[in-house]
Amino acid sequence: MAGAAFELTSDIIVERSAQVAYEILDGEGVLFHEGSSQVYVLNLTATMIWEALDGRSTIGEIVAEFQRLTGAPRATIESDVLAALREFSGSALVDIEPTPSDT
Amino acid sequence: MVQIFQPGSPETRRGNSVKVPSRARPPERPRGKRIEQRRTSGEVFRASPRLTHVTGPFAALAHTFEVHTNDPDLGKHLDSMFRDLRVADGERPATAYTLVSNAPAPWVYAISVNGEVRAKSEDPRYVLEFLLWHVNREAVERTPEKVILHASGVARDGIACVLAAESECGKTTLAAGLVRRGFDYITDEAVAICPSTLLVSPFPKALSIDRGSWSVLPDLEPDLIPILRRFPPEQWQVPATAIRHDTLAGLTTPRVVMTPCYKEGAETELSPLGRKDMLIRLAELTFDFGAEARRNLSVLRALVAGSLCYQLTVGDLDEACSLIERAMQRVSSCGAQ
Repeated sequence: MAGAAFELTSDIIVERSAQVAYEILDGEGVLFHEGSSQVYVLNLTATMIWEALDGRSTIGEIVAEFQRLTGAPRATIESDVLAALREFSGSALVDIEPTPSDT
Repeated sequence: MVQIFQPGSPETRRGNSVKVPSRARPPERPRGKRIEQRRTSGEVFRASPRLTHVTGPFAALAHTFEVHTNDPDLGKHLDSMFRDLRVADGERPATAYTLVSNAPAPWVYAISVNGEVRAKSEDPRYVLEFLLWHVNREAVERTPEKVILHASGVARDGIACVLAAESECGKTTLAAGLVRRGFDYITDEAVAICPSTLLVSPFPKALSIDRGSWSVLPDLEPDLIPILRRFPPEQWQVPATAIRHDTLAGLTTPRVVMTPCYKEGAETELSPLGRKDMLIRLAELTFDFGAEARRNLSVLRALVAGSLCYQLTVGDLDEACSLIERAMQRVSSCGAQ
């Protein structure tokens, strides 16, 4: 599911879309969506979040890992991660597997 | 501690749209009121005399071809126009163009591609434009193994400067000016990069110099055959070896990438361009970028990461060439960061 409107919860797994080509340049991500032929440039934070989308980790696990790495407040991290994922989802850059309660 | 969440929140910046169908694509088909372009059988050639002149073989990247004609003058013109693409005799070229100058009325000139008539006109310029357009298009389309940028390129000591831009931005004029100053010539149309080595292959087609640049390159005016004096072309076709006999580049390593833009009366200026911005520009200027998006993005990333990237505003050709020369000297003396 890409670009769908539903609540992002901590047990959801977000995957990078197979339609996205991705490179890192000077530490920041450059994405090309093959379907829309659109290029996206990520800032450092968005790039870190993009890199964390390994197709296995849930949103909750990603937030926890960033908290461990940075020591930043969980609420800040969660807010940033969810904001990034909403942007990714809105541009069809990711596929989101909803939990059973979302379907 | 890695402060990845401070100070900024995540941001996804949408780059310029890379819409392959409307942007980088093979060169435009020639336009003209008095041209007919269609696929027909060979009725045009039924009454044609012997094709006395064969020129070639040539290679435009992976597109190999030769040209047959029944007109000695046109044959001479073709010899000159394609001479820098000539390759050693060997395997039969994949494409044979036939240009006939006495097709039945009302058409006088006609051109076929492997026996199929593709364009007819009473004006020789249009069939010649069609031929050039077709060669350029086939060069791009038959070389899918390379990443091909809509760019001109020159080199010095094996180091290439890539000048990537849309049409009418001055790519050819800059290439001509730089060849005149002693640079080696790569191409004025399509820079082809090998994905595994990042080396640039030469595509030394004749420089297609638009009328607007004739006044700054008056010494490059070619001798025209009589029929083209009657129908003066809108572009000069100038083989780089007509400027300097030893000018053709071999394989080169790109280390400077620029996006030139000609602006009449503007101050000539070279300013650094961020690598990500350059990457987006190059994606826009890559022929059929989306067909091999992952490979192309990877190659462009490596290209800009290993190059000095600039935006060049061109108001004066000599000043622009001097700025490019200095940028190339920086690379030669220090290497790209």
